[in-house]
Amino acid sequence: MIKRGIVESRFVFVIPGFVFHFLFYLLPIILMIILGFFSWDILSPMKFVGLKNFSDLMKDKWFWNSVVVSFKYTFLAVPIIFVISLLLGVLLQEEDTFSKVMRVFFYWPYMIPMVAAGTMWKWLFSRNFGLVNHILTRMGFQPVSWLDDPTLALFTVVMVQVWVLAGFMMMLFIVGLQAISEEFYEAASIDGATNFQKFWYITLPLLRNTNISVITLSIANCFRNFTIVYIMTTGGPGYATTVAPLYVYQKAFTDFRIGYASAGSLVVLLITFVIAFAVRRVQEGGEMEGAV
Amino acid sequence: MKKVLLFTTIALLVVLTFGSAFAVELTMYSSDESKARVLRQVVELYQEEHPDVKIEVVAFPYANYMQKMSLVFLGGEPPDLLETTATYLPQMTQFLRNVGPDIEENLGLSPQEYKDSTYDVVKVYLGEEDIVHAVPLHFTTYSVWINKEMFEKAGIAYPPKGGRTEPWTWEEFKDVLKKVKSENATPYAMSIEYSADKFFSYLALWNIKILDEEGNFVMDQYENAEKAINEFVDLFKEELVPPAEWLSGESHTSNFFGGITAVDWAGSWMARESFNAEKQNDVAPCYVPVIEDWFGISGGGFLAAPQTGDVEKEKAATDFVMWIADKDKGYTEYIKRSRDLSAYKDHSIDYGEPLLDEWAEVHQVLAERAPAWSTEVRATAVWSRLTDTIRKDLALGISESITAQEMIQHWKEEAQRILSEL
Repeated sequence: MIKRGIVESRFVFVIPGFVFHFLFYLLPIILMIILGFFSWDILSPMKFVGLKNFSDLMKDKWFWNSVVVSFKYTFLAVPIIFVISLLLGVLLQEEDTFSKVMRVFFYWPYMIPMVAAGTMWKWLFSRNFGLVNHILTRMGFQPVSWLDDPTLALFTVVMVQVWVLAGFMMMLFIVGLQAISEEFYEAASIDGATNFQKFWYITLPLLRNTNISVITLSIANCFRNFTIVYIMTTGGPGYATTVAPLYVYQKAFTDFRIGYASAGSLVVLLITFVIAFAVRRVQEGGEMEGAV
Repeated sequence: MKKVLLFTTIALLVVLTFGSAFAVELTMYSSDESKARVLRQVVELYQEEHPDVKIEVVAFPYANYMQKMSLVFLGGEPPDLLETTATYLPQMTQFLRNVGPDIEENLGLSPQEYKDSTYDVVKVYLGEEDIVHAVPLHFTTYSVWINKEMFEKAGIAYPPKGGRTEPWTWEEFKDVLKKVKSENATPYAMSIEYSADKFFSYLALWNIKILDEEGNFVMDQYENAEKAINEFVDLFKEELVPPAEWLSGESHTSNFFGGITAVDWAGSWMARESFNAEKQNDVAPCYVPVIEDWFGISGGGFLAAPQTGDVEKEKAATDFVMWIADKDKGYTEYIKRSRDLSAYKDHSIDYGEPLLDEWAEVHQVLAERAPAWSTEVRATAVWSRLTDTIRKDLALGISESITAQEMIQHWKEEAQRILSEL
């Protein structure tokens, strides 16, 4: 009897978590899928249109452009974040005062609200009023169209993303680095290994799980990024920095095409699943190698 | 006796302290911080006469205002009062109270008489037949603003008050821009806000319509439509207009008042902006250049009371709207503080500022020349929803990503889609 009561009571403890996930994760997704089959502009009644939104989406070159921009943004930002945060982690892993102070300094951008960070950098990079161009012109250079040039605008926004995330990823690396036993390095020193060899053959392999976590989190943050792009460029110039989440948002709340935006959201969600699945496969592959 | 006195004192203290808690609290949304500042001043005056009402004015960025309003209407949480522009009003009318009966009761005018007392370009937005969706706050008209010092330095006369009576031709205007830029060594010559209405005000001078009065797309019927678009885009390519204003949202007023540009293609609301920036003695409005015609397209601001379902608040909100609608009460107070043009015919305002009187004369001429279609087209819901597509495509054209022909085709498709959905 007692065993049966324990078996049944486990479901009671699962209910709150299930309700929470259903209300705030599953239900919005279900509603989004349903809305994708309707035409709705918020101000008028909904109209069932079947697969029209999805077929229009397939032909929408600016939607697919936004997916490409999202990929460019992500795969430009992630390697830079990885390298910079790893470098900072290696340099600041000691527990001396200087390292502790510098860690705060580099972590601080992650604590700033993204809207404030985007607004600040937008002004700094302003073509005619920004501090960056002011310094450049004082040094004798021409002012740069940081946010007006289609190619440069994406790079500029990526740099701000790196500035926001690198400090947080640095902390993950520091935790991973501090978990590596000193014995490995001592043994390598005895064998005459250089600093670079120690880093390449000891540090990096033993940081594998941390590396995957950093890459996964960076991809997730960058692919779904909305705020920085919205504040700094609103997706411009033209569609040069319009990432997929921003495109969907604009379809919903600027063009008032809620159904179409929902269809777009679903496609973006599926793409995100594919990326997450791929990263997971890489991670599992790494764990298998480690086990061997 | 002492107890009575004590009780009375405590009761009085409670009433004085918490008396305001029994006031009706209303929220007003505004589409612009500079307008919100004026509205707050006017609300203060109103509250002095009506201490039983408290109105909080909340401002939102203009570019996101319709998004915000759509969400509050969708969520069933509209504000008690809202200020909006001509661009957005057509999309909101179904959610607004009809204040026609209140006008009859408070102002002694029938709804039609009230609407007829406003300029035609304002009246078209107020509602059909006996319906009055909103009351006008002000009336605006487009013009070109110049930096007087820069024009004097370049030795350029400007119409009508700067040594020249007739407007420039389009070619003359471009030469003026080049000259004022080179003589003052500024990086650019003219600012134009990133707005489809600005483009409309330019295109209208070519006598080119994008839509007709029913919202049907007609721009492809004009032979010189592509040429007009290319001339507009060329202003950016020739660095006469800062591309940053259309490619990265740089502020046109910052550039104009900051001396980056000598001209701002704007409108009568710059009077308020120039006083806010304390630059009123440095600038002046001019006639727009003549292409096929010359006039300033008109628009305005409006005040409305959404349907909230709260009878007491709706009554209080409508009372405020009526106070603003009355030229002898709130309206004149608002106009004097906003430094805008009055929306009512035969309503002269003593601003107490000679400059404003002078500027009003310039805008009067521009407004009187405007054809009715220039307002009727923009009063359609189709135009209201097409604006974002238009300005985005123009930005693409400025960055050389699409051609004028592709823009026209895309606008046609979008206009047809919007019309089919409405």
